[in-house]
Amino acid sequence: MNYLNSMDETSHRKNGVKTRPISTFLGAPIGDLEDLSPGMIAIAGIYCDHFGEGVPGARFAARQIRYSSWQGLYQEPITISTNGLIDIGDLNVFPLEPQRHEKILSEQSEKIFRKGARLLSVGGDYTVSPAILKGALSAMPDNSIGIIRISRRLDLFHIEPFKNLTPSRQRTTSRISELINGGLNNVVLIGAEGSLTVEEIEQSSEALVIPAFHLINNMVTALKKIREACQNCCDNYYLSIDADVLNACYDSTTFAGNNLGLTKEQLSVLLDGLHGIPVLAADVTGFIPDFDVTGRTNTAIVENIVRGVIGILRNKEAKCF
Amino acid sequence: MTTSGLNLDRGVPAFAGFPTAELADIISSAVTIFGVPTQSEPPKRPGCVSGPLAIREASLEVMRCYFESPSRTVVNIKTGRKTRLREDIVGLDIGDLAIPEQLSKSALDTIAGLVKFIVNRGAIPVLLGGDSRTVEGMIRGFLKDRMKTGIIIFTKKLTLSPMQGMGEIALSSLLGRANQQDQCPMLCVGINGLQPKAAWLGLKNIGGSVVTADSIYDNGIKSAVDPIKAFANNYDRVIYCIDFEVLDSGFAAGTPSINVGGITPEQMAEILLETNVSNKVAGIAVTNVAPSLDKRGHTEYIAAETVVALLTDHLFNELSK
Repeated sequence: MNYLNSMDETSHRKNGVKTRPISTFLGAPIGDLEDLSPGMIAIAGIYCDHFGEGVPGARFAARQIRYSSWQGLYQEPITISTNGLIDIGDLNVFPLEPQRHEKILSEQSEKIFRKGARLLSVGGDYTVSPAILKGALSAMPDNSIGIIRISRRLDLFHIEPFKNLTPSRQRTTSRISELINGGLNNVVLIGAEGSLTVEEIEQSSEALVIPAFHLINNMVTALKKIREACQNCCDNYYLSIDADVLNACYDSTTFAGNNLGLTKEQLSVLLDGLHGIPVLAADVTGFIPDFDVTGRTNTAIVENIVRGVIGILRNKEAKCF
Repeated sequence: MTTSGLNLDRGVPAFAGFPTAELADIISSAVTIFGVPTQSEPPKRPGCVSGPLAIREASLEVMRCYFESPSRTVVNIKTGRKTRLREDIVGLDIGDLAIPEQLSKSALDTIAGLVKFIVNRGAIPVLLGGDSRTVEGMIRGFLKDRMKTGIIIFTKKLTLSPMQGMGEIALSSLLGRANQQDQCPMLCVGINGLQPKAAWLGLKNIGGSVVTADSIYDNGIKSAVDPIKAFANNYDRVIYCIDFEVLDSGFAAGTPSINVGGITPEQMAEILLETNVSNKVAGIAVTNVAPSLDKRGHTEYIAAETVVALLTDHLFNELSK
């Protein structure tokens, strides 16, 4: 069924019934694995919170953006084509069992990549990335994959929680670098800000690190560096965006406010600047709708990020099947 | 009372992991944290009673990067400033004052008595409020001391809110007859909006100084940094009183009343970093933090960041020039 056609309320009125269609990401048609074909973009929700001691609520991100998308379609002009997009619903998760969770996400994403489709996941935390990356590597063992991570943190340093005082935030970038060929040399970390442990800074020396203040002060130079690093380096890239990269006044996703982060306009320019890089899969994490105290503002901002990422995923150069 | 003796039991959050202690444990030059959980009087919104606990919890988040680092060393990615948590921190948390939620004259006497006790022991009192009126008790605790003491107040108003049985008072009235010095020991930073005429005249009569939020926006943080540095140079020691209503409510919603056009947390952080008079800090009071009004938890986080910034010399060793 064409979802957009179903939005014509007249057809409902003819039957004497007035309903509205099921909300999907950006109004994309609802589909399943069998509906995917090469070059299509599958958008999926991840109904899962942070595995660390972070504030719960990221599991509602997908739902809220779907609702927000519907309102946007209904009230405002459509600014993105839904051609080639399919909302495949929420992926199966085991929110209380990290290892099973990673395994099942990996298996599901592998099936999607084997169809030749690209994948955008929304919700959950950064631990989603290695799971999906594993799926991509299983589906395309001959392809080299690099990582572009946009976040205020580097998540590089391996350390156990300190006497139960520090949250058990995962050091996911390190794990990812162990999965891919070339390790940290094929990792670009964008948007770091604030104070970082000296050990983490030392460990990041192999990766390309673009701090938030570089982007704020000179976006053009920063983008040039990123594009140079990604040029002819890997067959495909995995793009991971944590909403905590945004300045606290634009973003309400995290407990600890980021007062030196990017504005929504800067993030938008950054995403525009990534067009042309062969991105195979992406995730948008760290958004907790419960903190959206103004009602819909932050959801709309994250929805806008999702639109930007879809624009990047539409790049035909990504080497899928 | 060294870093190895930090109280890191998650069940009882003490400020920055300091050990919990009794009055008898207070020793010379110890940073002594105590909470004053009091509410604001109507029509101000309630919530400050939870301020001390929320600031303590947030302080652990602020200090997290130090705890995570095996060498306890942290680098600011923007400034390159490298600091290490001191091995010889002398700090303790003596808990909250057992007083009724509604502030009264006797409660102010109790606060003044406690501050005086701490100061007489050669320690540094750090008051976690509570309503802004608790500042009156803090300053009274210092008044009869013979050292030349300046008071730097970050606030949006030149008055202190009413309390049980007593009306609003002008900040200038806190000094009373004790102000025997040639220059008024009071500098008010971040003043914003309409002010009572009597409070303006009162401050003018005692020769007080004001830096408005408008001037910080118009002329940059230098308009606050220079007066604070000049002010601090005139005194043997300074007391910092930070009423978090000084911040714009868009950034810090958790305050009993609203401030439109207040300074931003980034401006506050930069002002404190640039002035760097940590070695002269004799006492700190942070007030008007109402966590229940800030679902995102930014206000208490900024409050904790502020206290840590003011105690820089006591908590960290500077490793970079």
